[in-house]
Amino acid sequence: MRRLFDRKLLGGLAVALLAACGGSSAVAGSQPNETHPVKLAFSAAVPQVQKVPTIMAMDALKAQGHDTSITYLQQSEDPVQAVVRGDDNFGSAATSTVFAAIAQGIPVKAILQAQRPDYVLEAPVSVTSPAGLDGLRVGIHAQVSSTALYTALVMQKYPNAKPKILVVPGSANRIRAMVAGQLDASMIQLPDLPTLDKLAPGKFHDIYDVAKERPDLIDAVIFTRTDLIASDPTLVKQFITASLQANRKVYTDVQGFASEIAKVVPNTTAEQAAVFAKLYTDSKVFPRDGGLLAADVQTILKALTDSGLLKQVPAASAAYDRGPLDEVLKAIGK
Amino acid sequence: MTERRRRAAVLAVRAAILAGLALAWEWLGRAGGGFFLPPLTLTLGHLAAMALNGTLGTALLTSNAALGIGLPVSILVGVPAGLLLGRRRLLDRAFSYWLDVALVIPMIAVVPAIIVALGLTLTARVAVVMLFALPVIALNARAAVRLIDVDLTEMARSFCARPLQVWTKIILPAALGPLFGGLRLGLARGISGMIVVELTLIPAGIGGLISGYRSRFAAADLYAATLTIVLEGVVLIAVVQLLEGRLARRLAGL
Amino acid sequence: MTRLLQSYPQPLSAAAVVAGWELAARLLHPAWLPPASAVAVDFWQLIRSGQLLLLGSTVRTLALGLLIVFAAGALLSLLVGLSRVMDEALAPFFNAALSIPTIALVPVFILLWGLSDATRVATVVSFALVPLVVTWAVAARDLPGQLLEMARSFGASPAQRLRFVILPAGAPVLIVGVRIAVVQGIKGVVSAEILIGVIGIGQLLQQATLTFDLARLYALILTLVFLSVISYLLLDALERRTSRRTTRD
Repeated sequence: MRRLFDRKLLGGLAVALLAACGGSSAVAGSQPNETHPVKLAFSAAVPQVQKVPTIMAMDALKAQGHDTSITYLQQSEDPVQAVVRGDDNFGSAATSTVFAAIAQGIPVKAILQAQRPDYVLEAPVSVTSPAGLDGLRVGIHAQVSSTALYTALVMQKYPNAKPKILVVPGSANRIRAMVAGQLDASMIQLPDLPTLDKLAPGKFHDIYDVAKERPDLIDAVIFTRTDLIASDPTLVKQFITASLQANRKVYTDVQGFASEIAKVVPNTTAEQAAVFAKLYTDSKVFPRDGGLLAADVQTILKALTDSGLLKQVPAASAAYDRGPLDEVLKAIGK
Repeated sequence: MTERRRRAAVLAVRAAILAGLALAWEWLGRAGGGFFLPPLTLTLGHLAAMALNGTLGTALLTSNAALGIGLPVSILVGVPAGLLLGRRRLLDRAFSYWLDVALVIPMIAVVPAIIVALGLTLTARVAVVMLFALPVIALNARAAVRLIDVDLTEMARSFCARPLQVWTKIILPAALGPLFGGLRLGLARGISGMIVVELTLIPAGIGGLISGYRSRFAAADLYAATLTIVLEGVVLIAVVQLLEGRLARRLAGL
Repeated sequence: MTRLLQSYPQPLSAAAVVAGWELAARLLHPAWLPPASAVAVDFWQLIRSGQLLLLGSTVRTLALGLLIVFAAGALLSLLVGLSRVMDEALAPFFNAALSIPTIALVPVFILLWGLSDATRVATVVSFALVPLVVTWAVAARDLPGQLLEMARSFGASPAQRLRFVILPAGAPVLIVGVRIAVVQGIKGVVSAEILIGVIGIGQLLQQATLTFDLARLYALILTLVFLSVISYLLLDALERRTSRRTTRD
């Protein structure tokens, strides 16, 4: 009798524990007509220049009376997990990561293009072309990330050059690793270049400008749960409207953009902010009309498979939903 | 309770636990949607696929190269070091606490220093495996020899036996326990050390597979790769226990 | 001279190592070994900058994890200690659990629970539970049968038996188990935080790792060593107090 009790107790405990743990990983559901807070998750640990328009949009939404919050995560995968679990409703992450998730059946869709690429490939001055990266230590953000994709696309043209890949999340971290002599080259984000020049003047130069060469690539997207698009289209459209208005404001009021950068991004002086503002608006990094063009989606899907980064890519129709974006464009004009 | 009934009860409990865990895994995987917890059957399917198409084999070979060198070297260096510390009181009091410290810190934290010192090489990975495995092997060797802190000749005289007989019949069998205990722990820790570098900085081997699957949300593949390394630990240590049993019986028979 | 060496071997060897470190670093400039003085300076800056407050998150999650470990550990070790069937049945499971390279489980936990506390708590449990159970089971198994018999013949209630017979008799082994659990728990929570990257003290370690700031890295490892030593000394004092009480009885 006692023996049976022991077994049942143990079994019951085990299942209860597992169920308690498993419950939290279930997919979040939405009730129709439920107002949702605007909770956004970024795939960066600190606010960065390229996130500023989105942050401006969130501020605008807050001024309109929405309940807003921003969570800063680090790995590219984290916003996807946060959105699927319902901890956040919108996420901003690299297209590679979001599409990788969708390919695995995770129920999210891209609703807006966050930005075009803003990376350059920095290498030692002795290296004049990517062919020279053979055997050198090249840093990327994560195995599936914008930097991984661009590095793979660049190296595709030089099949005999085989760099050693190191995973160092964070452009700012990769700069310091390069300065410390532990990395030879890496895709670096534009705002981090001045730091590299300051810490190691004359040691590095750029050998490939992704921003200039491949503006057709969708670098990052804003995404949300598919059921949220269906259950609360108003919220989604309000978010998209605020984002487009912020993107457009950036071009019309460059100085305002600069002061936002100085305010939001840590360790940025007013002069630096002005330089970044001009750089980003000149390079047209933020799409005024929300980007996400059908042709561009095809391009990035093809790039993801060609580069070998992803073995499985989603069908275009599963990857994004232009519906809300188109309606917003109709309302506020192109 | 009779012996037969007890044995039956033991087997029944084990079967119930295994069945319970398997069913829970399968059910929770299906219930939760399978994105972050794939059902057991799917995981096993992916495991079989990975084993058959060679992904697993290549990764295991890359990773285990570090273990294959690092663990034997850890034993060759750690056991004599531990024996020395056990026999020389002054050295022991002066230096063994460094080994205690090594057991207490999360060794994953020291990995970047090794990378800086030795680069992205096999040597670096071997060094990491040694950092994880050596302290516990040395400390257990020290414990083993302190257990038998005896004067060999004195014992031989009182037992009317030759020193060699005392060694093989009394000392070695007693030392076997802690020594093999250290070897088992060193093996488990060494496997951790083997994949720890690959989980973070250098995406290669099994650790590289794991972090890659995580990046791609390939949950079933992630679980399958993790299951592989878990099984490697369990199987290797079971083998060591078998060897220990064999060795103990041979020594007793000598 | 030898007498001095014999009386204070530990501080002297530590001083010798630090001196040798400083000399080697200054003469040879190995990239992986900043001078001990640089590490000390960075350690001081670390304290002053207040970044060590991140330890709060680490310690909180560690405490939560250890609570679960002690509760589940007590239940399991009693189960195993008091029932021969369960002891024998569960032995291979515990054996297997001790053979697992537990750090391999962290990516799975991160996939399951992301950055939430559950990930770190699960890691603490996976690192500490089975070593604790295996240690405490020894006490549970070796409950002095005669003492129990004696207490029973005096009509003591189960609660009284627990408090006055079982716990004091098992106290040394219990404390050893607690020590093991705390050490394993610290390793677990810090390893998880390094792999997660953005919380607790692991965040600082990860930052130092990615920027290859070795002075900062060693300073942080020193912090962890200090914490471990402090908890070890605290538990040691606790053990001595409880064993004193037992022997007094």
